Amino acid sequence: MTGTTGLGATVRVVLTGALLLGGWGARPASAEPTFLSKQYPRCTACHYSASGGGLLTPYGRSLSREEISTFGRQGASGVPAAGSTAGEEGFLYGALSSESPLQLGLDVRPSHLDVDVPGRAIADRNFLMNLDLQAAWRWDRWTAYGSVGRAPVGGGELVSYEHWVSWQVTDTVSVRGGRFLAAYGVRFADHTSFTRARLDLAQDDQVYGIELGVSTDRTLLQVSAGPGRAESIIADDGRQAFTTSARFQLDLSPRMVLVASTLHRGTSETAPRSTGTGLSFGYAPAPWLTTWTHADLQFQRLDASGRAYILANQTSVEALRGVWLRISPQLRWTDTDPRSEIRRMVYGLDLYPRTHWHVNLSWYRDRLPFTDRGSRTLLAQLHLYL
Amino acid sequence: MHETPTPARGDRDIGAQPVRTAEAVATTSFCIGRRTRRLFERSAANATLTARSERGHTAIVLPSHGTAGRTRLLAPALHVCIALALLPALPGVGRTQPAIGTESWSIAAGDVRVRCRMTVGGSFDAVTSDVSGTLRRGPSGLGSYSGELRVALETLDTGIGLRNEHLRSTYLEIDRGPGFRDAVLSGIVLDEPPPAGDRRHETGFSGTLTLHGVQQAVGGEAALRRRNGRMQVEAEFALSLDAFDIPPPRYLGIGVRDTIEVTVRFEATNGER
Repeated sequence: MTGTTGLGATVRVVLTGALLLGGWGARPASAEPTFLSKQYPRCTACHYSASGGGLLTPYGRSLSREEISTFGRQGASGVPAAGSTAGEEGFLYGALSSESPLQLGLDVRPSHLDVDVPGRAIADRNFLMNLDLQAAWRWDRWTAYGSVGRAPVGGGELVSYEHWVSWQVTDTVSVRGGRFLAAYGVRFADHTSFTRARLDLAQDDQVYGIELGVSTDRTLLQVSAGPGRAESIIADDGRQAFTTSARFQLDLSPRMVLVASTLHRGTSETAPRSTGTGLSFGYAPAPWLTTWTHADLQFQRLDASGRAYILANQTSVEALRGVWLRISPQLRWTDTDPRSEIRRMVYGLDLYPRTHWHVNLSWYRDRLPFTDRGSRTLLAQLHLYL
Repeated sequence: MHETPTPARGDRDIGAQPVRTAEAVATTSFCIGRRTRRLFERSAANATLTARSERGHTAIVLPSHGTAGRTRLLAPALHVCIALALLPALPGVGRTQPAIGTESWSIAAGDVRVRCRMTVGGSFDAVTSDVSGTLRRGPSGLGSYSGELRVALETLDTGIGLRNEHLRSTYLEIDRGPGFRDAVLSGIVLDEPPPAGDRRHETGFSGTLTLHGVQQAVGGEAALRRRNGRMQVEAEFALSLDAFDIPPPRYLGIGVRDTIEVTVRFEATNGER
């Protein structure tokens, strides 16, 4: 130890705790890259959004029942071959036909959070992490998408995190414009993971912009550009800056994926120009095992700051049908300030007893090696997707 | 529904279902990858190729397996005969290999991977290790094999239960009879006969595939290697679902493209079992 354990260290620990509380008080994404183990390397098989998360397509709803839930499966005898989600996998248990161009989803997440920071008394929290209505209208080659819900922080005002229109130009080329999360790396469902929260890709970091997508049998290229972070543009908080991103995915096999990404943000009133590059590798050696590893390098145009590095892995095992065990070691450090190094270990249990009923138990251990301090967090969440 | 009696393995015919021969047209999309296109081009090299553009598709007409490959083998056959005459003079060559004309290989283990391209991008594999059969090298053609490779389609696994069930019942219709339960590759002819010895040998091949009650000529690429009295084979070919009367797989807006790639790997032992 170096003796720098006084006020500065305490402030960092408190800030970490505040970050955890603030972070979990917000809306997570719902994409599950663990489905790579079922040979689904692309988000668009189950989600409307090309960058994953959000409203499920009728196909995604059907898979949720037939392939994820422990007791919801009905088998081929109960599923019309032509496909019609009119049962518990449908919106409000079949209130809308899967053949309707309008599809809706209701995303509700009551949660319990227990944060333990040594030396500080932090009360447990029970709160509604999100309550969102999602809608998509798909007609021919056009899709209009939007969500509206109660903001999890602040005064609980209505907020729309995503709203965009996309056009499938050809079988391989698509264009969309509006508010969406820029495609980058692998989108873990946990929005507090270092690969999201530490890269400004968290729950409210969508951008306004235009995205071009080129999808072939083995590759997917997504390039976007726009005036920057949507919330900053709306609030005029000085963080808005020209933002462009590119993500290239190569499917080495149906169970092995390599992703290269870059994200550039121009200089804003409050932040310097920054560029991030990342490499992600997803591999599912068995139908019950998926592992994703992401390595990231961030550059900032400041004299005093250097590069920031992130290494993160998430490995998920389907122990039983609808019972997933998850472990995720994460590490972030910079090359100029050893005090900024932070290590995280996440242990998770995901239960899917019935279609669209998801119980998420996650235990986080964050540690700052420089001060040998840290925090522990337990998240218990019921995720209902109706 | 009545159950059709199943003949003994190896004695099956196509069954009660009508069987169409190779006059059908294999249709493939322009969206196929380079690798798949190469396999189709290999098919074309093994047969007479007619290509035409129609509504954005390329149609490849594969005539029935027959004289084309045999005619082309005449010139190489001379070289092969000379080489075979010289082979016994080489140490270690030809002593453990079965004699030409009596060579027979039984499949000891193998697997088949069918790569299906999805309409939304990406792909999935349907796999099985239920591969059986015996191949006998023909006495008249150095690269031709009688016998067959047989794959039990009910064991194809895509990793998703619902997809497996749709594949078997809706698209392959394996309950329709014996001609639908198995995929059978027969009449195999190698473009270049394998040399004696243990060297790896790569060549094109052609054959007749019976699938979904339909017979079609197929062609692709194969790699063979002999090792310790065993033959290791890996073969690849592409086929059109439409050519085998398999309806376009589609479920809740997600589909599979018409062209699929098949990879067959097996290890065979010398002699019939």
